[in-house]
Amino acid sequence: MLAEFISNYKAGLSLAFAIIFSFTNLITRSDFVGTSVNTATSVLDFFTGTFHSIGQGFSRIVDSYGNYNELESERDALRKKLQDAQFLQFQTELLEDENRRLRAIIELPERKNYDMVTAEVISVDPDNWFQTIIINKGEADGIEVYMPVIAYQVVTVPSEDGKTMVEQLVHGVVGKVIQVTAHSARILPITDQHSRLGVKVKKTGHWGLLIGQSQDDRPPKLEYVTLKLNLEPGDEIVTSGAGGIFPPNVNIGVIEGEIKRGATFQEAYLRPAVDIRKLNFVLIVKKRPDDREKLTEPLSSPKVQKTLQEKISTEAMEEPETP
Amino acid sequence: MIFEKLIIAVAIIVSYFMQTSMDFFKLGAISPDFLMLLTIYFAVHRGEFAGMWVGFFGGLLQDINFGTFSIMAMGSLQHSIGMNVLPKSIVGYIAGKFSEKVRKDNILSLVLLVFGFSILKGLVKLLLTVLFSGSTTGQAIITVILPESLYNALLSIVWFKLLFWAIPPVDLRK
Repeated sequence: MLAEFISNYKAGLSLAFAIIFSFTNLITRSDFVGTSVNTATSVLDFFTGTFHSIGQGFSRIVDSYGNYNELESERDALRKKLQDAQFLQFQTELLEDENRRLRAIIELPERKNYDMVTAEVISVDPDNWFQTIIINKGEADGIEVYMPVIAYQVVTVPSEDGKTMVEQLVHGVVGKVIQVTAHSARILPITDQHSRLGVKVKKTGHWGLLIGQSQDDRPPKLEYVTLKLNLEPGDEIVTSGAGGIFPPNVNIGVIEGEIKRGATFQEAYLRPAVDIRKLNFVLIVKKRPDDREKLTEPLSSPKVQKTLQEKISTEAMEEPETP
Repeated sequence: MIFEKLIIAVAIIVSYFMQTSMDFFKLGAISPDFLMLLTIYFAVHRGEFAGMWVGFFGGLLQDINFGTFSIMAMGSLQHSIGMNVLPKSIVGYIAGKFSEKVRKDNILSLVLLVFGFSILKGLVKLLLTVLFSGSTTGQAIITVILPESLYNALLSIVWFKLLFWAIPPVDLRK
């Protein structure tokens, strides 16, 4: 009787099971399911990474086939760049040493240098709703949630005379780590609609909030910038360091397009320094948040909203700083 | 029977890896939903039971890829199992119910079916995202759901032929 009932209504019963299963997980977010799934995620990330590497290797072979001359000249150019970089490193070490001694003389705290881990991008999101990035380094490599992520990228830009195109090495913020498994981690990039990042305008130090606009397929938008500042296209935007996640003054990008001046604030779109859709490698800065407790508070909570409002009001009241 | 289930499992896994690891199919910011196409293919050719379970396991694989976000960094982004399972299971079931009324040899009717069910999947997911994840807007209908549905529909013209060749249809209701 029961077997017959199940057999007759197996599709409907299956759907009922799927609905109950989904809603139970969505509502309870049980630790058991979470733990099991995160273990499965790390296994899946391993296979995804392997598959991605094979795919990329194949693409590289296809791309490089028959381009030996180009590769040779590229190798020579890279050798030259390496020599320049080694010289630059030597100079940097000298300057760092000098800076350390000078800071000690005027009793300033020592500047923090964070360790970094290079990781390969192994996967992107399997649907169009989120824009997170998965990398091949995780807890075993010392990666933790909320660690900032930056990247270096070679971009082609017009030369100074505007007649030719030259390659340039740029760096910029990618996002922050939001999920870690043993050998993989997930990054929320600044372009994702869920991303919120405290930033400042480099030339004056005025604060703003950078909000991801992936839901509109647009670059991130800079909001809550005081009207006292004359924001212009090309203005450089850097991290403010106020959120506690990112160190201050890390390059993010430049203002691009029209600047919209509202009644109390102005807003504009930002062109990120690095193209987040074309990343192959990223650098994870091994910096723990300054105040981890605060970060667990959802942005939508009344407490956080109140603090944010107060901060913005204070900013609006302040006089503009001289550049 | 076991061999057939193995083929289905392989089809789900291959579709999943194509979705996660292949930028080749990306048009702007939009990627096609290969798991969704597979779900509809099975629903149309093998009925609602097969369609529902292909959708269920395809969605589960996607949800496992996301994992569960229990602590969120300065935002309300949250994700847990069910966000992809439910929309795909529902689509698999309803598409299977519709399958008897669809002319499977008519490309246009299949394309329209894929378009319609991609919209349905998008709307169910939008509802779940609003209810359980928090921070998406109705704008997603224009920026995510419509372009993805259109892309799925166009890709289905070729993809269904490929699936037809790789996994020939067997109507289990007969």
